Amino acid sequence: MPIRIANLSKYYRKGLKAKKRAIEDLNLEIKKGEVFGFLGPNGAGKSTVIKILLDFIRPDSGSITIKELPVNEPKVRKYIGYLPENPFFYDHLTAEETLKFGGKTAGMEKGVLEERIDQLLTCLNLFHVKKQPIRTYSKGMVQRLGLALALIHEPEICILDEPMSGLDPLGRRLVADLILDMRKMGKTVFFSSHILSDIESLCDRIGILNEGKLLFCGPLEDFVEESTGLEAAFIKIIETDRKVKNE
Amino acid sequence: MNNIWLLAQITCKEGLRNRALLGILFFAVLLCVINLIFTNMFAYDLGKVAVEVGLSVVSISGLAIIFFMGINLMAKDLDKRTIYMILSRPISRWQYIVGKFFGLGLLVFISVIILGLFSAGSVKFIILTVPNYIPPDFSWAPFLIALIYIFISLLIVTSIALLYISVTSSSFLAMIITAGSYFIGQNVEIVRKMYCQAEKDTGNEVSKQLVEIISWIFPNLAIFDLKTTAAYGLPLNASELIWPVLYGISYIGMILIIAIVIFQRRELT
Repeated sequence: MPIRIANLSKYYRKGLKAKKRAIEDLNLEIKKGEVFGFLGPNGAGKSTVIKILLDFIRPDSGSITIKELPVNEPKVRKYIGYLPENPFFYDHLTAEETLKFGGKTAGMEKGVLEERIDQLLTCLNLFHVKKQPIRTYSKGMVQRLGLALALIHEPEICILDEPMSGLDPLGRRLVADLILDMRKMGKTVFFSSHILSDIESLCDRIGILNEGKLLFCGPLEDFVEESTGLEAAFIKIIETDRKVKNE
Repeated sequence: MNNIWLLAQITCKEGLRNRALLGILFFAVLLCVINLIFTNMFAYDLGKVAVEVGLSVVSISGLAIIFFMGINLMAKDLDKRTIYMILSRPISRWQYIVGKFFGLGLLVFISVIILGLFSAGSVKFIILTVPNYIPPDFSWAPFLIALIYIFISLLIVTSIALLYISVTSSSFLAMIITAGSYFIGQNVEIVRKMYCQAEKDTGNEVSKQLVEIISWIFPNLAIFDLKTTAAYGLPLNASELIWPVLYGISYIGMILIIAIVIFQRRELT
């Protein structure tokens, strides 16, 4: 199983004693070769789950494994390609240097790496700026470079946090095509997004998170009622959950 | 080891391409030129003044590079989340701290070489223009050793800065505390000696213990100051020289271990 999350809970400190729940008893399994969309309103806990997957933050309880290995093992990240919500890079390095760093840390050979860099930068329409310092890039270019860094070592699992944020329609199309290519190649994609149309067109299964609790997990067609569509179904499930909590 | 080297490389490259470094180096070169003017104001001991001012320029500029660039480079990683780009690779947190240290160390090393050359140039100019005012035993070997000692003391300050950044991601706070530690480190030995002397007269055991504890916590940076030795060309004993080096390496090692332990537990939200 590429990603397995069992009984995961995470609380953030709020003041000296109080704690705020970020994730509560989350169970999730992502199968090999599927595109899984992680949905939820702002503050639902999507980014928290992703940060725990990357071992940036640690859970209070539960277990989380990637390819049956605990996420605190650095070698696990050889299998992962990660795109943060707002990627930031070293401003004075070039795209080529950044990607070389990424490839070398994953143990790629020099020749293969150089070929892969050119291929990815061409695909993401960044080849013409590969020797330019990143500080000269636009927001969309930085986002695309983030995606290139995530994919440089041809990872088996891609974890993308809001991959479409900051992209123009052309950039979004490019990223969507890349995700579909990854599915064709049998890779696993786990991504969070606010853009429901992207979720609808790309995902095999979805998970809906609200206030740290998983409200739904399953195939997209099981969730979307034929007449209403994803947006209406999404709003309905969140509002119902809020009503239940308020009662 | 490969990951540490890769990290050190990108850290150093990022630092070298920063305009702030150019600014600091330009300021240092300017100070070396001022050294020539300043030294000529003295009626005697011109060589001594030139060496002391030249080495001070290296030391001060090195500190400026650590305070204004080194701390910033690391704080930016945490503040702007560039650290996600690094730790999402198969790199462990201890490798991150050690890699950052070596990267900043390399940056300081390159700066010390450049500054040292300019400083030596200003001293050479004084030697050539006023040879009668140069101490008879002056030689370049103590000058070089003094530069190496400055480099080690700067590495100690770098490790302290890394430790504080591991605790707090605020670059301003880390800079203030590192500067405080540097100030204490420069003076702790003198204060300790003063207290030892005063204790004989007053018998204040508590104060003495307190100063003793502080002198164990903060580095004794005064032992890395060989400016006077270099200026007069005083004889140096190899066995005496090795102890400060071992002390410096051990201190850096301990500080990095503490930084790693703290950083391992840190949540990168």
